[in-house]
Amino acid sequence: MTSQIVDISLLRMMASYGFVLVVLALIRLKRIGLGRDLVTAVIRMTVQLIVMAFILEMIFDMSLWYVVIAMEMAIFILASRIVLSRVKAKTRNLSRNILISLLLGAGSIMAFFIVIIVGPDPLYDPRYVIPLGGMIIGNSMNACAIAFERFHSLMKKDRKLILTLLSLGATSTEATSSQFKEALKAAFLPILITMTATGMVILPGMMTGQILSGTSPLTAVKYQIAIMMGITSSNALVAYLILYLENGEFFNNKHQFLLSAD
Amino acid sequence: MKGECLIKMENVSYSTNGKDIVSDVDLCFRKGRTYAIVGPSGSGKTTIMMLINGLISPTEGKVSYNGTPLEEMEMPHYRSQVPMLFQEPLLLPGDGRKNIMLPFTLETNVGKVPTEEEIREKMRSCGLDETYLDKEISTFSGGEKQRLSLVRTILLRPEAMLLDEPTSALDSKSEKDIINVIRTMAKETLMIYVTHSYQLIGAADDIIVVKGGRISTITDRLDKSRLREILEEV
Repeated sequence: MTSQIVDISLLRMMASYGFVLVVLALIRLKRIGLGRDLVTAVIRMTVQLIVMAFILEMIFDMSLWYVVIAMEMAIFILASRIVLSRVKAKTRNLSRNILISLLLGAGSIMAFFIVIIVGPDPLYDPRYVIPLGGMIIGNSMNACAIAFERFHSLMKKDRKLILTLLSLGATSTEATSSQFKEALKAAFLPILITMTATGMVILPGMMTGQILSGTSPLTAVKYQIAIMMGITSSNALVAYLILYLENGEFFNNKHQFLLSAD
Repeated sequence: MKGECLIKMENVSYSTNGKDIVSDVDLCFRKGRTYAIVGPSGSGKTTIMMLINGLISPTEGKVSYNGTPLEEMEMPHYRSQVPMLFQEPLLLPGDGRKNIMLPFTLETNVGKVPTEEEIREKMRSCGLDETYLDKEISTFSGGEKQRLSLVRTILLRPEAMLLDEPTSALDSKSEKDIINVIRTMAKETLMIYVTHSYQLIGAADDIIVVKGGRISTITDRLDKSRLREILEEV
């Protein structure tokens, strides 16, 4: 079952851009006005992936623990910037809170996953740490953005309800517990849907990649199950952390709702 | 006007976004008395109530309770002693009982859970029979919601109650019921309410007129001529 993967020649790879031409033709035909965005996105993705390929080759060759950690830190910072740019609402310490949530939430799950579940030798083997970490962090970014956006909009919408609860003696945590739960649920929903469809509708990327590279489907499935568990836990933990930290941004230590004066 | 102030506002001002909402307010609220805060819309009446409830802090001056500045108090506990009832009652989807019990799900009120008998008695006094306990909130009228909110606030057995337009959605008969409840409660509880209702203004011991964020007059209701002037003005 371990046959060598068929390499794609550069010319054949270039042929895949033909798909984009079809989409561009459709955009033009229907005058959707997204042509420029699509071309920019395609160029950006191509450049990013090529750069990443060179960086990964270099890191894999070096295989130094501090380089791997530096790379992961860079990914965390980049991920937090992307989440920040994706959310419309902003709060005072949002940038810091996103980074902390990702570092603690996704970081702890990553560490557990690499050390306890996969256990590569050495533990910092970049062939495992970087792609697995990337999958966990990437998915957690979505959960983080969804949780924050939903929570922020609920805090505005339910302002009077929150004030009512506070006025009757609720702490800031009690006053926003229903908004907290609802935002956590919203962040959790995409991964639940993905899990339900995985193996039936969706053949996940990692599993597909492993099978293409000649790994036995059984081994690929074991990895896939484990990574799905890791992603699910990381999503939940990151969403919980961002909500916990952001809840604090809406109140002061006197349990006063800072949106109450608007 | 004898006795110590249970709640005292000293030189209180509050501004937000560069706008003065309340300025130089000095008020003393004594237990066992009833206060009506009256004035035109936007004059700062609700802000005064929120300052007393500790939902916002003065930008200048201080509010104190039993001589202790609110800044030094544990706010959830204080607010359960001095709860505020907002003009638009906010009730959760579900039945009447769920909403009445809502404050008692909060940690600070756990020891205050009312008995079934207390719940029914307070509901009756506010003109709601026990069938409302099982009725869905969506079937309640505005006035019924207002009365249910009042019941749950009364059940907290507070030291003082802050009521923002407590009868705004009620008809004249229901308003009389609520005034009776307020009068009964006022024997043991400090009652402060914002109102535009003649009946409620007339039921207060002291009437505080607010204009442009400042206290313009404080009148004892026994001063009949002044009271008439205020009623006409309001």
